[in-house]
Amino acid sequence: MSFFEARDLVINFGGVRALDGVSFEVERGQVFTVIGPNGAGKTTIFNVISRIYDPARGQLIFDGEDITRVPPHDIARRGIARTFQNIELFEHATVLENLLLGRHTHRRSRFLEELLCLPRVRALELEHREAVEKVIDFLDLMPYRESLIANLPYGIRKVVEMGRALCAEPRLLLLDEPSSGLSVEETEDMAFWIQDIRELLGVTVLMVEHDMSLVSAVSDRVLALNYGRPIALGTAREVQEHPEVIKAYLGG
Amino acid sequence: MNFAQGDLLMLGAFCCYMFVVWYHWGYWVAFASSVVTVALFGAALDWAVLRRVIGQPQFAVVMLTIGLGAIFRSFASMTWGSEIYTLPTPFSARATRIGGVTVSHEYVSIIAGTVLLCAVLYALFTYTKVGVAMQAASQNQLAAYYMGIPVKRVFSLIWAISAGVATAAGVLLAPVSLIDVNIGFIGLKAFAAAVLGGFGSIPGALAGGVTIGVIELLAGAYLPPGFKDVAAYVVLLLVLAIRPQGMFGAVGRKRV
Amino acid sequence: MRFVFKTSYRQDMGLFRDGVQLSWYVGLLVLLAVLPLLVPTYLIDISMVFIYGLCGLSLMVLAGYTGLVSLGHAAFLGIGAYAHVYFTQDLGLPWLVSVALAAALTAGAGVLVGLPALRMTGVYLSIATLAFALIIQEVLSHWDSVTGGLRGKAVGKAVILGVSFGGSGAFYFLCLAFLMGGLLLTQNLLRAPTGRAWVAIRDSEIAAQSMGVNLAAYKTIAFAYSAALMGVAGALFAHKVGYLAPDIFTVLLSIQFLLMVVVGGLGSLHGALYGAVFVAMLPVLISGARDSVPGWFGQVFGVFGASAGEAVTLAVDRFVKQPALEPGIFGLILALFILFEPLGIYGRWLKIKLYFSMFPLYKSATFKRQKAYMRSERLR
Repeated sequence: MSFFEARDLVINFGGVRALDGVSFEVERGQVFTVIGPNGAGKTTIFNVISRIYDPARGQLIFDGEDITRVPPHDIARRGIARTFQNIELFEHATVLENLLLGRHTHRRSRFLEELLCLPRVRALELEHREAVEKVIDFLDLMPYRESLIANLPYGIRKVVEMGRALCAEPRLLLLDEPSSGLSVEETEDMAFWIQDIRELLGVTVLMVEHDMSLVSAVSDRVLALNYGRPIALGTAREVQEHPEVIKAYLGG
Repeated sequence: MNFAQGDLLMLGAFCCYMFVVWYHWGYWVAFASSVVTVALFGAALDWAVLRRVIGQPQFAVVMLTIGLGAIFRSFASMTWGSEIYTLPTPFSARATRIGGVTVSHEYVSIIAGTVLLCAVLYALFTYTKVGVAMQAASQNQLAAYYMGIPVKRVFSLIWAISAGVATAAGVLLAPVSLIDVNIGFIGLKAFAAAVLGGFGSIPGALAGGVTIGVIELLAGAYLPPGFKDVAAYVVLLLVLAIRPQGMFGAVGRKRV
Repeated sequence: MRFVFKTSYRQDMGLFRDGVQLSWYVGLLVLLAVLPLLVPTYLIDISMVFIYGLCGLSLMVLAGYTGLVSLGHAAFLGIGAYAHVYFTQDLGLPWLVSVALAAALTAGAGVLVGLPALRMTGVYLSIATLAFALIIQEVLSHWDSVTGGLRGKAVGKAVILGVSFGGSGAFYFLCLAFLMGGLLLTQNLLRAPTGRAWVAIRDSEIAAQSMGVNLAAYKTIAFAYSAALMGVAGALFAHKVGYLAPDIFTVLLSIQFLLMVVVGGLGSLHGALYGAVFVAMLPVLISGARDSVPGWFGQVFGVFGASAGEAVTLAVDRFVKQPALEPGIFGLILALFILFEPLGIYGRWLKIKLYFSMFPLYKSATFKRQKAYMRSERLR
């Protein structure tokens, strides 16, 4: 039984069929990448998994449980965290506050306890802070701890977004175009981090990506999409050399 | 989202009143002049004030228009006084019998005027270049700039038209509801009608308006006094809570 | 520029950044404690500032921190005031119990209003709150048995556990105590996961949702807490004004609260308090100006001759004495702040502090707003 499975996902937006029978399986501890030209429906898959959209047909099975119709805020609790293509950070908060919010699923204090700031709440807050500091260490975000997001450059924001997802201690991490807008050095850093996430933290990674060097460097398996339909599945090399994929990217 | 729209309606009605009663102009001349005057005022308002808040989050514009609405009400109170006034029109106190029903000319003028305005606006937005430019500028300003649309002028034009339409509505409404400083609050009921009908759908707004009118009548007839006024607001709350897209509308979501 | 030296996580979590900040606040508290001895005649007005402070706190939690702009918050004040008076005078319940019940009732009303909030964003929510406020005003006017209808209701002095808090000094300290309590509880919430969730909802609902924040639950909690604070403020407000009537809790009052929050500076508790001071002082300033401004104009134009000066004085005097001027001034100040100082008084204070801390290296373009382009927030 695979760790995460999408079965025959179909979703329409008005007259456009964004996903047309997409199925794939992700094994535990894998880095699974979805590639395809723009508009192929890659981010739509993520949005379906995050339950922002309801699929017209199809199922999502995570660790044996059907999560196709759970409420959106339940997804994080089950161990799936994601980043967004256009960074959705909290602009007017500091990096620390953003990361602390990533810990929300692990909130164990009740409203009344927080209202009175009981010692239990303080102890839990210290726990959250220590967990966040581990992530800050891991991603080298120390100099930016107290900076407002609005003042940070794009590359750092992307890292913070990934950090926020990591703070939720997910079992499955969805990365939406982690290297878009990053320089060559930052992309290399990203590749190392993704490998570390898999090996040191034991997190399964499902990724959407355009940068083929990053894809080849870290992916275990790759799925290619075109117009919402899967056209190739295999290792990075196999997919890159697949004639359908070449046709989709280059036309003709 | 303009919270001062109802107050523009009020200003328009007062303007026409001023032309008719203070300066003794004819009704139609006063009507046209007040539409033009308030339209120019709307454009000036955009040029002077609203342009500066364009890129800011929506609620900043909301607060600004709330503030402006309060200023308009205050200004109206000071210029024209805070009592209730009547506007003499060619339709006042005249009625015709059609098939056994007495139809008051005032109400006919309102219905005819509304239908005419809706038709003109619909034609403007759908068929003319200016109208399409307006829609483009309001949906994505940067792209409109790239397409060569003079966005600032288009926005001023939008405000001018919107103020002019509000004036026309105010003048049409004046015989029925009488003019005083607070008639702008009808804007909220209008909003209730739009929400009930569903945003993005003009026939829906009309249907919503009719529905709310009927509900108000029924509330006035069958429920204790005081409920008639709030019926529209209760409907608004219920619609927003249960079916936010109204009868015919569609609700979008931010694309991530 | 002073460097804050941090040695433990508790410092970040605490209420005060360091000993220096704590000592400033202690000083303020001492000043407030001895104020009754210094300005005994103004105590009633300052109590009103404290009550307004609670109101500002309430709206700040909802609008400033959760991003749910409510245009009808005066309705909650009305509900709290009438409920408290009913419980304590008509039903004879003890004062503290009555206040608690009034707060709970108002919180319930807040949840009711919040229900549309769960489905709609931004402007639509504001409209819903406005509609709610108008409905409540009607209800208060017509529910004669409980509220006394349009005739209004007289309110006696506060009596807690047998001790009368009717005197201006006692009432002053009562309001101060409640304000401090409200500040403490709110700050507790804001530095806990609940507060962070609220800020997340304000800045990006979708991201908040994907991080596990149950939007509906937290928006409802925000409404309930905000309304509960308003309920408590309403109880104190009832005692302060002495006579309740439905036409106190108008849309104009809601706009004043909004003004409070915007002028003070959205997104900070300091802002709520600055705004409260501003809005409470504004009528005093306006009436003061009404008396003196015509005179100034007259003096300026008196240069052109005594009769010109007198004529101008009379004209300006007639202009400013009109009662309808007040809402206009409120609107004008609100508009001016939105246009020129969107961060409010607290924002301006922060900018001033930054200027002095960076002197002489302050760059004048530090807070210059970038050119921003509008994008429709309503999708097809």
